[in-house]
Order: sequence, then C-alpha cells, then structure tokens
Amino acid sequence: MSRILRLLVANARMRLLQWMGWRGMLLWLTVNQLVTPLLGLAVWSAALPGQAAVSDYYMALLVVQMLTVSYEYHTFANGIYDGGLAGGLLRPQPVILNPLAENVALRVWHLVVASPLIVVTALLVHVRLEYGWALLAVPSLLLAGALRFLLTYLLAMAAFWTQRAAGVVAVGETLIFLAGGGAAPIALYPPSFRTLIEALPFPAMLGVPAEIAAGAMDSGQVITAYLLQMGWIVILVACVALAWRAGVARYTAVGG
Amino acid sequence: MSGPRRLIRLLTMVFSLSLRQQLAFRADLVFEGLVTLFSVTAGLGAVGVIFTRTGTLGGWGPWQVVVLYGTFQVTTGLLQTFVEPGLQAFPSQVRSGGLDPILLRPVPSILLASLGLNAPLNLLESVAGLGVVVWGLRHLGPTPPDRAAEWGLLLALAVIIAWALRTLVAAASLFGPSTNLGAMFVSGWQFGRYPVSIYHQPVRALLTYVLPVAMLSTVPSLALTRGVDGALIALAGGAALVAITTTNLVWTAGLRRYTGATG
Repeated sequence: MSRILRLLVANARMRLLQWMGWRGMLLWLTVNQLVTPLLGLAVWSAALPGQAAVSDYYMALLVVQMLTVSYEYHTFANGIYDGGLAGGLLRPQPVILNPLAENVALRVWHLVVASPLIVVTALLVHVRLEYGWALLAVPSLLLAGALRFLLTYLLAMAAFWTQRAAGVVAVGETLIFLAGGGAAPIALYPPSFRTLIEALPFPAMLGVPAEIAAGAMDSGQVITAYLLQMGWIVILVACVALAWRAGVARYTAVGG
Repeated sequence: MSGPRRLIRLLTMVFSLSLRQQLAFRADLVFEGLVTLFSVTAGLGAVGVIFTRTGTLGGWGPWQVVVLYGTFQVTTGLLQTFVEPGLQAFPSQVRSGGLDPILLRPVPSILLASLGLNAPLNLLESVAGLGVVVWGLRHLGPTPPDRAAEWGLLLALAVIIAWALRTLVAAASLFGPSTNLGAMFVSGWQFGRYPVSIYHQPVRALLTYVLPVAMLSTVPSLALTRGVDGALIALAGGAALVAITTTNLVWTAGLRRYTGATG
C-alpha cells in the first residue's frame, strides 16, 4: 500500500511539473470551470437579492469546483482509443494510478490559477464563511473529490464499448451541474424534486461540501452527509471494478 | 461566375461535404441528438428552478427567459457548426505553418480559415433552440409578424458579430503564436444564457460593449418578446459593421507578420 502511495505522490509531482509547461491550456481549463459557479452566483444573486447565504454557497462552490474537477475522458479514455492503455497494462502498477495522479495535479493547478479570481470575487460579494464550518467541509470535500473522480473514470470507461465516450462523460457532467448543486443550491429546489435529487449521488460530488462550508447544515446533517458520501464511494468503487474487468477483457488495441 | 457567388457555392460545398462525412455515422447522429436534447432540457430545468423562487429575473418573466435561452442556443449552434470547427485549430496552424495552404488558395483567407470546416451535427442545437423559442412564444401569446422579422434580423446580426469576434480572437495568434484566446471566448459566451440585466456593473458594461453577449441573445429576444425601436436595430447593424471592419483590419495586419513556411 505504501508503495502505491509513494508511486502516486511521485507521479502527481511529475504531472504537476509537466502541467507547469502548459500554462495556456491550464488557464483555459480553469476559466472554463469557473464559469458555472460564477453564472450561478450572478443568477441567484439577481433572483434572491440580499440573501448572503446564496453568495456564501456559491463562493464555497467555486473552491469545491476547482478541487473536484475531473478530466478522465482526456487522461484515460483517449488512451483506450489510441492504444496508450496497452503500455499502462504492462506496468507493474494499477492502471488507475496515472489518471489519479494527473487528476490530483490538475486540481492543485486549478486552485492555484483560480485563486486570484476567487479572492477578488469573495471581496466583491462580502463573503462571510465561518472557519468552523469551512473546516467541517474539508472531509466532505475530499470525499466529493473521490466520488467525482470515480464517476468520471467510470463514465470514461464507456470508451471500451463506444466511440462516443465524450458524450457519455458530458451527460455525467450535465447531471452533476443540474442535480449536484451547480444550477441551484439543493435547498432551493421544490420539495418533491429535492427528495429525488437527495437520493442521487450527484449532490455528494459538488453541492454538499459547499452547503457545509456555507453553514447550511447542522452537525447531525453533516455526519449523515459524510456517511452518505462514503456509501456512494463504496458503490462507485464496486461499479468501477466491475466495468474495468468487463472493459479490459474486450480491449484489443495494438500500439500506444 | 462572380466572386460572391463563387464563394457562396464553395461554402455550400464545404457544408455538404462535412454533412455527408458526419451522416456516414448514423449512430453518432442519434447519440448526438440525444445528448443535445438532454443538455437543452437541463438548461431549461435550471431556468425552471430559478422561477420557483422568483417571478422575474433581471426584469424578465419566465417565458421571456425561455425565449432568450432558446435564442442563445440557436446562435450557439450556428457558431459551433460553421465557425468554431475551423478556428479551433487556427493557433496551431499558425505555429506549424499549416496556414500556408490556406493563404495560397484563391479565396479570401479570413473566410476560408473561419468557415472552411463545418460540424453540421451541431445544428441540432440550433434546431432544439428554435423549438424552445417557439414553445416560449406560445406561452407569451400571439407574436406580431414585425417582431418575428426584427428577431430574425437581429439574430443574423448577432451571428455576424459572433463570427467577427471569434475570428478577431483567433487572429490574436498571428501576433503572438502561443496566444490562444479562443477558449476564453467560448467561456465568456456562456454569460449570454441569461438576460444581461442580471449582471452588476462593470460586468454588464463589459458584456455589452467589450464581449457583446448582450447582442447575441438579450437584444434579439427583447425584439421578440417586447419589441425594439429602430435605433437599437441600427445600433446592432453599426456594431456588426464595426466588428467586421475591425476584424478584417486586424487579420490583414496579422497576416503581414506571418512568416510560416512549412505545412
């Protein structure tokens, strides 16, 4: 286990340095990821003027979005299409390690690149996040990051069966936006929809840590949220393992 | 055959060829249609959630915002079909010298670079957007024909402005080959999903005068839902003219600096 962890850290460090050379691309990716929370902030501030809870939520969501971004279609699915996965299968390490390390590196860079804009926006909207709630949101944020990685990795595995994995991943991203807390804070959904949405894994990938940081949950709800996130992780790990076994059995690419 | 007619024939052939290439993969067509439908429905769902909490958004009623959202999808689909595919690769063409063959062809390079590659499946987004506009209008009551005509005119001007801005952004790579502002444009474009009146100053001014997403969806929708006076149409026409002229000048100046010699 410690060997895997060492490999992950070394790989992530290498990817961090590698991405330093692609600053233009990083800037583009980050700006692209900032748009949804900023749009949400503008729209909901106009719809419910004077409600500080909305701006607190979207400010927290900005950080959550940067630390949960997942690009496994590019870092993993493309390897299935171009044969790059063949090389990964020969290495004495789990194939998931490379996309995971790249994911970690990209999240760090997203936060670094987005930081100036996050600070300026926080000053403009007079954000009032409390340290206690922000600290409670950290475990939830880590679990959300794991969940979003697992879902995107699972959807990217569609590349084993179809040429349209990009579309499959895009559908997943749209679901995270609509039912995860990007389109609106979950608490603002009509009660019937809220019940349905809360039964899905998507809020646990985005909105839940932002809600905790914004102080929209009591301590009992926070514990329940952690447990739910862990439950979804167990389910998604099982789905990933099953999909990997089935996918790699039919993988026939040559080269890389 | 005269220049403009020859150009129109050439661009029609480009579209026809791209369409035939994409139609060869029928399953992709069906899948792309479903993804587009899902994405447009999700956007409408987001609008729906907003109006469960408020009666107006930036002074716009729910069905007016639906019309605006549909208009935004129509414009986005047109840009993604005709302009974005060609210009996406433009900065790398400048760096690699791949622009050389475009410059050698007997067609204005600005048009060949920006419109020379199409992605017809993206028109599904425009079709879905048109459906959303019609759906919104049915809830707003009868629309006078002159408003529909104004919407069509302002939409055409919006597409021209969008083409000019996107080409201008691509032309930046002629001055600094490592510059790729195209993705910034695509991100900024998303702010046109909602009425520009929801944004505070100076963001609103930025989205009206610098990156005029207000012209792309808010102004045409305003014509359809409330009607606009001739002065606003003239202003949009003037903006389109300025955008075309500026882009053409910058493109020409940029080409003078271009020194690629490979391909």
